Amino acid sequence: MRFNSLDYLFFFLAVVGPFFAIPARLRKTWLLVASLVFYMYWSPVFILLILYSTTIDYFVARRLAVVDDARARRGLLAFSYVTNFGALFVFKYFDFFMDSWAGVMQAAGFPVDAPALRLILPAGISFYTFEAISYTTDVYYRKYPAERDYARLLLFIVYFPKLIAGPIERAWHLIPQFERTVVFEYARVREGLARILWGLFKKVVVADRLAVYVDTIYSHPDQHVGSTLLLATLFFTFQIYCDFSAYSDIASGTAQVMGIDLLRNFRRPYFATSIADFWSRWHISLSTWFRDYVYIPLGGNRSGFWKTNQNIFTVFLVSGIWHGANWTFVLWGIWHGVFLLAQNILDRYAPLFVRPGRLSHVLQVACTFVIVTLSWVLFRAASVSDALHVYRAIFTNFDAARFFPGNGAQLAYGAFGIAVLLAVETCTELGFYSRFFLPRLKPARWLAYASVVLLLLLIGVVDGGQFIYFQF
Amino acid sequence: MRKLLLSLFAMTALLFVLDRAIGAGLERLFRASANPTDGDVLGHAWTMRAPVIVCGASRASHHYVSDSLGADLGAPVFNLGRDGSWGAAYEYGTAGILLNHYTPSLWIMDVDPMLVRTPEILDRLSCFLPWAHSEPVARELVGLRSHWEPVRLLSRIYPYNSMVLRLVAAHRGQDAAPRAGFLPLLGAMSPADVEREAVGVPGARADLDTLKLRFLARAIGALHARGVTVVAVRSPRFVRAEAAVAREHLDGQELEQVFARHGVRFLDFSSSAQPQWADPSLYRDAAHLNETGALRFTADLADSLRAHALLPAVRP
Repeated sequence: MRFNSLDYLFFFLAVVGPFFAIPARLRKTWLLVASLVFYMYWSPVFILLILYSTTIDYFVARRLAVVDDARARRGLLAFSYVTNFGALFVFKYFDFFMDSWAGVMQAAGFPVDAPALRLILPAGISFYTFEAISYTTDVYYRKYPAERDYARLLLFIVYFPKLIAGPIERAWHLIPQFERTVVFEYARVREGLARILWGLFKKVVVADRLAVYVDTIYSHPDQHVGSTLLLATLFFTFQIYCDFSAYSDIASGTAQVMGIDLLRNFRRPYFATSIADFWSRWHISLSTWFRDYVYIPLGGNRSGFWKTNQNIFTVFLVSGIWHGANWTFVLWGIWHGVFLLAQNILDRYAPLFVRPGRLSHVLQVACTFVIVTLSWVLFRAASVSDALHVYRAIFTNFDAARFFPGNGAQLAYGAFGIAVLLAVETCTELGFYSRFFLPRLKPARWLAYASVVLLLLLIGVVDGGQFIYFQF
Repeated sequence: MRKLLLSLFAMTALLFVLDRAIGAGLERLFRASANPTDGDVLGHAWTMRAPVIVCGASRASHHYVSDSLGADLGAPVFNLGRDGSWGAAYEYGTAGILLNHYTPSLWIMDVDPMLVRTPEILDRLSCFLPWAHSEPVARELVGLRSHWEPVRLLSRIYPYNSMVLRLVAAHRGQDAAPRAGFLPLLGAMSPADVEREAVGVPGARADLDTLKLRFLARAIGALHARGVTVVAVRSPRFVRAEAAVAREHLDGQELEQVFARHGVRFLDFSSSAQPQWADPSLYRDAAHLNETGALRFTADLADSLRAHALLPAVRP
């Protein structure tokens, strides 16, 4: 069930209405049933995979709570990892590794017939796998007690607002919230609904509109010149942000209406002043997951400068692979890792003399934006050769005279959506939203809500595509 | 809770008023525009009450010179060709709406295998949204897109979704001047395009689509029931590669059989049937004639219609 569909609107109303009407003790069960229905609406059979891994994690955690022997504990944790990562590997990476292996063998002059499973990727598998891993790891390190209530653990995994594309929750953050007695609060519900509305705007008006141009160009990048490809890449920069942050907004807004705060996933990433800053603003729940479960266990920053950078690079490599089973994602991760290393090395050995000020701030934001935008070529291109063609065309065959405008109205709608987005994000970044808009200007707030709904009807892409991160 | 419900009610009321006001404005702009893509082209056709209607996809829009054909046949012609790949549902919807307002005498269907092959792209039926509130046929077709269409149609803005800029541009006179629906294409095929067609290999042949065949039967049935003469015309396409010519010939035989089953005459102007259409200077691209080609084709079509006694009857 897509968040940008009327199916979801009615599902949301059907869940939220009874949620406040039924006794508090029944709400957990109600949310669990709703979450299972939500997931099974897409494909009923894959719920079995979730039940399988959750059941194993439940018993592993219960054993971890009572076993003190270090070796046995490590074995239990390894069992949980094999179960969760094994499923992820089979469904998401098996074919990729087999194809890559076959490619290497062919290049070496030993062609082989690699086996392929060609399985359908279960929705949200990358997200709920990471949540399950974080749970058993936290129990292993005794940061969180083993859950006694199986239904509560299952609800943690399948809680519908964040099930398909995050934010990647942690047990210590989400599970205790299920136990809180939620009372209806007007301000909170209003804020949640406003967040959902803003998410819909970003998805339906901006992301899906930009996708029309981006998809046209990136489906045949070899047929276009650099100027066209640059605009398509720029559009994709905003498309991916609006698409993914829209999902997070709708997820957080939905949860907020029902009294649950999900982890924050985005903080205006295109205002970042460096790659490190970008990753503290982009997909925050994933960045912190990698920090806590990969970077710190690898040694973090405790083993010297070069070891720290090696750890950072490893994290970005894994992050690239997490995003998708394609070399383009691996290179995308490497791209970010390399620029972060470059930044660290420059800061240490050749710190630039930049006087703090507004101009240097703007320059830093602009440089980071350019680096991030160029990295999206790898993320969007269907193959490494396509991505290389795009880079080559942008830098050596710009040819503005042969720019492909596509449908002029589409471009205008897309540009308008970006302008609105940037205006709102700039106001929020500068603090205008929280200082003036939110507490004082009720008529302006109402006008904003009404405008967003009207824009959805006027220029929104009805029945637009699935969220991009759904595929991960 | 009460405060929220009151706020939601007030917001809904505000949105209702704004939706009605903006929707009425957009409808006005739409009715005033005859742009074949984003204008009330059907409204203009029934206002004109043209005895001859041409219907189909972009090839119809660019191949049938309305005024020239009208002069040859002695009766006004309106071209309802629409850019894009359209199947039989478009013919059915167009015929259904037009017959609600008047009865033309001759209905020329520009056909190619896409009319009945490959699955109908239901999303494209959104072109009937502006008529969904007033025309049952349009509502039926729009309803095929999603079971939520009746809910969406509660909004008066929704039928004009994504059309606002084009409608405003048309209103400000920046629209292409319509020639009774005919849109000429200028220029000619490049030598590289001609060369590509010479070596092109046709892709796998798609299956006949039962939904499209059903819509075709309904469209022809509705037109025949009102005494409209229907003629299926395959306008020229530039085909040079041997395999593509063979495929075109095969498609022609199939289309002839499909239309024969409905008692409709099939006129084939493909280059496999009439070699004079293999001249690349008549084309803008492989699928579309340029204006010179369109004028020559229109004259040939008029001769053919006369030869087959398919001239439009003058209705009182």
